Formats: sequence, C-alpha cells, structure tokens
Amino acid sequence: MKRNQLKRVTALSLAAVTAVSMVGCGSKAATTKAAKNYEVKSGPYYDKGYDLTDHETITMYVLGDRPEDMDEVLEKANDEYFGPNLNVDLDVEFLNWSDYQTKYPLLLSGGEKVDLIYTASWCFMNEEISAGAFKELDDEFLQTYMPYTYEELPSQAWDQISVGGKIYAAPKGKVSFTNYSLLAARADLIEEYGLTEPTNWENFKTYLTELADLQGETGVTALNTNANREQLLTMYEQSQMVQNVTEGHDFIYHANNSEAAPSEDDIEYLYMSDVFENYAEEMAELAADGAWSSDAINDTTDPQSYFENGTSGAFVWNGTIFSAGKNLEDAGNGTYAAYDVTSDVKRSTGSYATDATAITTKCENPERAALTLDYMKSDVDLNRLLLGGIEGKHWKLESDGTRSTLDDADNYSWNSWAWALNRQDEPDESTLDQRQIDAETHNCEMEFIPEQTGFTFNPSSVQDKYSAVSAVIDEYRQSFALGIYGDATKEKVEEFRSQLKSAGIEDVTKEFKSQYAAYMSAK
Amino acid sequence: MAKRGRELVKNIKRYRVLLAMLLPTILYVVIFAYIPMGGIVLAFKNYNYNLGILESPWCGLDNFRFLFVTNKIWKLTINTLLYNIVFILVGLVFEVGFAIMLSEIRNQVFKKISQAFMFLPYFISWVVVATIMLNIFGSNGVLHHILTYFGMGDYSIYRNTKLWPLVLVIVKAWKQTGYGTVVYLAVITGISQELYEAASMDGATVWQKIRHITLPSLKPTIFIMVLLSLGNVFRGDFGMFYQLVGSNQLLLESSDIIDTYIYRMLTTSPNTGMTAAAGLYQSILCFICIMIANHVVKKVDPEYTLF
Repeated sequence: MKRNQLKRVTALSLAAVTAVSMVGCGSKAATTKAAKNYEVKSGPYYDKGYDLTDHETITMYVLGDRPEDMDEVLEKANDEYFGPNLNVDLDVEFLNWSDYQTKYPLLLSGGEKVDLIYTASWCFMNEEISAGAFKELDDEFLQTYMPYTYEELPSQAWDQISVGGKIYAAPKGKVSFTNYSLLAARADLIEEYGLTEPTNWENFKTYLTELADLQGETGVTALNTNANREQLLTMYEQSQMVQNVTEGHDFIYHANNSEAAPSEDDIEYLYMSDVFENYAEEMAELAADGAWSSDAINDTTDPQSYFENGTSGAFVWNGTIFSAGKNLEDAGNGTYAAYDVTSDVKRSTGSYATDATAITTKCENPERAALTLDYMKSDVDLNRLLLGGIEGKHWKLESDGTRSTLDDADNYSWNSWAWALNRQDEPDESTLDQRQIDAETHNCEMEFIPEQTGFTFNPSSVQDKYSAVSAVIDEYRQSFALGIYGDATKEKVEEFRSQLKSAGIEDVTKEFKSQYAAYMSAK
Repeated sequence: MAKRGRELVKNIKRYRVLLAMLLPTILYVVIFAYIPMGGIVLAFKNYNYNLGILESPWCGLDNFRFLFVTNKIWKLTINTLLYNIVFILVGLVFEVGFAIMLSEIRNQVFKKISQAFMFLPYFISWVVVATIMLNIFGSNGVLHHILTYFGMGDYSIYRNTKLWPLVLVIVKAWKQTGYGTVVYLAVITGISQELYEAASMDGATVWQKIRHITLPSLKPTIFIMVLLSLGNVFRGDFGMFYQLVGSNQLLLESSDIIDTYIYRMLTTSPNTGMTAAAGLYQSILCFICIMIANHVVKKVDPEYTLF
C-alpha cells in the first residue's frame, strides 16, 4: 500500500514538474507597466497629419551590454520625450556580444516583438534583407515618417546604405576613419633600447625585429597577437596604396591616392592578388624573426589586453589604439607613441552602413516606429540622453562644446550601444589626448571619397559559392597572417588559391564585377 | 470495436500511474524532437520571414548545393566518422575499465575522491581546456620551460601536427571518462553480491570474477550505450574541435570535421535554409548508421537491439 502511494506521489510530482516546465513554452507574459496614454499637444510631430491617438510601445533591439542606469535613462526619455511628443513608450533590449550571432537571426525569424533593430553591413544586413526581415523604406515613406533624418543625413549616407538600389535601414549620422590602421608602439622601450622609430612600413618591421631580439631581456613580445584579429593586413594594404572597392568584401584595386573609380579590369580578388602573396611572405618572415609567438594561431586572448598589460610592443588598429595606450599608461605598464605608418596615403572614412537601424517587417506599426527612430536621431537633447545618459549625472557639457564625464559615467558610458543613432554634432570628449587630436586632424586632411562610394555587393545569386569561399578563407587566412608556413608559404598560397577556385571564386568575382559595372553605368 | 475501446479505457485506468510517469518523457520528445522535425521542410525552401515556413517558395535541392560545391565534404564526413568511432571505442574501454576499477576499490574515502577527480574535467568548458592546453603544451608553456631547463630544446604541441588526432582522442577521453563511468558503475552496483560470493567460495580470482561476472552483466548496457552513440556518429563535438584546433590551418588538415566546416561557411552569411540542409545531411547519415548497427546487432543477438 505504502509502495503504491509512493508511486502515485512520484507520478503526480513528475507530471506537475512537467506542467510547470511547459509554462515556459507559452508566450511571454506581459510584464510592462500599464502604459500612459498621452494626448500630443505640441512638439516636432504635432499637427503634421500623423495619427498619434493610440499609445504604442516600440521595442528596439541593439547590440551590447545593458548599462546599469538604462532603466533610469529610458524612464526619462519616455516621460519627457517619447510620451508627450509621440504617445510612445520605447523599450530597448540588448543582444550580448557573446551570443548575438546566434540570437540575432532567431529573433527576427521567431515570434518576438521587434520593431526596430540594429543592423550593419557586418551585422547580417544583406542576409536579413534577402530573408525579408526588414521593411523597405522608399523615398515617400522616409520623407513622410522620417522627415528630419531624411533632411539631415547627407545623400552619401543614403547611397551607402542602399542595397540593390533600395533602402532598408536608416544609417548613422557621423562616420570616422574606423577602417584606417594606426600603430601604438612602446615609447619607453624605443627610448631605453634605442630602437628604430616605426615611422613607415619598413621601419615598423625593423622595430618589430629589434624588439623580438630583445624579448629575453624585456619580456615583451614584439607584436603579441592572437588568432582572432588580423592586425597587419589593413596596414600592409595601406602601404601598397590599395583600397577595397566596397566595404565588407575582399575586392581591391590600386587606388594610388586617386579618387577615380577603378575600371573592372583593375579590380582583383585580394586573396588571388600579388598583394596578398607578398603580404603572406612578409608575415612568414616576421614570424620567423619571432615578432610573435609561434602559438599565436591557437591563442584567443585579446591583443588589446596584451598591449595594455605591457606584454606587447605594438598594437595596430583604428582610433582604439589611443584608449589602449591610455590604459597602458594609466596602469603604469609603460608609455606609448602613436604612429601613422602610411601617413602620405589617402584614406576613406568608414561607411555610413557600418551602423544602422532597420524597421522589421513584422512591426505592427512601422509608421510610428519610423517616427520614433526619426525623433531619436534628430532631436539633439533626446539623442544625447540616449547616447550618454543624463546630463549632470553621467556627463557634462563644457563651455567649449566638449563633454566631460561625471562620477556616474561608469553606469552609462558614452555611446556604448547607440552607434547607429549618433549625430554629426556629437560633442567630443574634453580630455582627448593631444596624440589623438593630431591623428584625427591628419585623417581629415587626408580624407578621400572614391567615385564608386555607395556601391554595395549582394552575393545572394552566388550564395552557395560565396559560402564555400568563406569557408576556405576562414580556414587559411589567420594561418597566413601569422606566417605559420615559414618556407612553404609560396606553395601554401598556391594550394589556398586552388581551393578558392574549386569553391567558385571565379564566379563570385564575375558576379561582383557585373554588379559593379551595372552600378557605375547607372551612376 | 466498442469492446476494444472499453479495454483501452480500462487499461489506461489500470496503468494510470505508470502512464503519468511516462508523460514527461513523451512530452519532452514530442516537443523537442518530433515537432521541430517539421523544420526539415526549410531545407527545401527559400525561407522568407514574411511568407513564413509554409508559404516560402520551394527551391528543390538548392540549399544543399553549398555543401557539395567543393569535394571537401566527403573527406570531412569520413573524418567526423572516424574520429567519433575512435572516441566511442576509446571511451568505452576507459569508461568500463575505470568503472570496474572503482567498484573494486574497498577504501570508500579514496574511492569517492578518485571519482570526484575523474568527474571534474567533465565540468570544465572547452574554452578553458584550450587555454590550459596552450599554457602547458604551447611554446611558452610549462612543458617547454621544463624541457628547456633540462636542456632538451623547445617544444610545442601545436607545431607537431601529426600528433593531433592522438591529442584529441586523449583530451576527449580525459574529459569524458568520469561522466561515462557513472552509468557502468551503477550497473555494477546492481549486480547481485551473491554471484561474487559464490565465485569467491569456488576460488575465483579478481580477474576471473571480472571476466565471468562483471563483464557479462555489463554487456546489455554496453550495447545500448554504443548504439546510442552511433546515433550521433556524424555529428562532431563542435566545442572541442573549434576551441582546440581553432584557425590553425596546419592542424585543420587532420582535424577538420563537418561541424567546423559548416560553421566556417555560414558564420559570415547565415542562411536558415542552408543550415537546415546541413543538419538534415548529418541526420540522414546518422539515421542510416544507426539502422545498420541495429540490424547487425539483431543478427548477433536480438535481445540487445534498441528497437
């Protein structure tokens, strides 16, 4: 009898556990507080023919970690801006860096409420457009529902964000030289050991070799790098005056500081070009000289942290080198000097399409979502609230127009997630290092805007080959970048190329060139 | 008909407790295995979010084309299969061996401590294992420093590419054995002590008891565990291969598997249809494999089959 009872109790508990666990499979319970219905009586969207009578909650997804004071900032934004002027509550959700690659496509294909979402040329934009995830924003829609942004953004921005002549996302409002590589080198070591100053590419290699010879004494690896970041390719391309035809795709041409668009015949696939072969051989030489650890290919530690903790003699990247250098100096691990190794080379800013916001096709009220996005991008005060938090708490505007950080800035640091919302008039940091100011000034002096700017490549018609090519590149790229083949580099380049050919690179190149030709002739 | 219906109701009532106990498993399998199977259809569709799964246009076998653009997939399929077979065999020997050893240990404290240490690696993530390996066997690792101290030159396992298949097998066994041992240990605990006592009275040695009592008692479990593992024989351990081998092309030559290859293909341009196609390709191979294995086992001894 007792045994029977025990059986029943066990069975019932198991059934109960199952029932409880299945609750999680149901739809998400509404947890948001009761929304307040506003009557819009003034503001930038009042009396312009918009129907703002029903209250809406707009959910926006962005990448990054949720700042600690996010709720406070959102409450202020909703109470003072979105509510009274658009009758909207904005809800911002975050996709963490660690798993955004998995979650992002699932979010759009699944049943979650997503009205606005961050996207970019590097963040699934082309793929999601092909899958029909983003609403097309035609001229009429933009002029009607994003009136201020439409006016404010330069035509170049709209050109760059368009895919196949159509616009699916609103780009950011300010671009910088994110694709241009600078070098942070160890000023203290240069002085102490009388090392060659890395003022150009050849000197830079000498600097690395000299530092490698001293590794036993200094404990510093010349370029402590890893398998996740290819530090030298961009800089090498700069030294050869080579430019990418369009961002995000490995098709190059010898620009030689000219803004003229390349002819089709001038365009080469990077990995099939002499530029790449020479690069691979130079990397093999540096590896043989001990510029980095022979196991760097299996190391995944962030190279920026290697520079910051004083175990790397160099760090190559865009403007981020200045914060890495600052961290090195603040921690007392050494001093740094910034070098523009290819200072006489023209450079282009990153594309406006590097950060953008799209309206999803499953958004139930795309008009209101567009107005919300327009408001975030066009209203200076609201924009700064979202970018940097509450003025007087997280940041302060100085009399010279720059911004300084306040004690609470750690809980809401400037522009940690709203990159796609930034504006041209975003205030600079008041404590910018003179080295950084000099570098940025020089960048602006050397800016160039090639004629083909605005061209984007859509690989969907050769998707199978494009994917196979991606797999081959991912297999070999880092191994060449870290020179692991030594004397066998030349043969390995040949092997790599034959694999690319069998994966279909020739067809992908043909498609790229034909889209390029079509774009240029339409232009 | 009505009689059969009444019988069914009666049976349900009679076995309600057992059925209730079965319910969680049935629900789990239906929700997480059978319903998602409907997603197979995506492998043959050009999936568009707006149109949904059913309305998206069919595209035939287009989604599978990317797998076969190069001939690499065949080599990787063989790689995946061979690695998994070795993992299963080595795992089996270690798991059964250690389970028997543990069951023979009489000192309870030592037994528990040994078991805990064997179990520990199972909980270490592959990311951490990869870092530990780099710091022990890398060119700046502990082993290198010890060898240099004794004047035996520098050493890094990452340059010794031929060793890698062996390295992967050893690391996998190290990580997996503790967990796998538990099942066999549970079976051994359930073997009647009377059998061992009778054998002892007849003068059987420890080895004879293991050979004639323990191993035959473990046989059904061994068959079931091996058959279940064969169900995943074309699915590589992505975490292990991705973390330990990473982007080192020299190591990839001998250590690339289907899963890492597909990851490299689709990480830059994710495509729902292609992903479904890759999953289906692996599932079909696993299905064929388990059917053949089950059939072979049925011929040898029908009692040990899965179905």
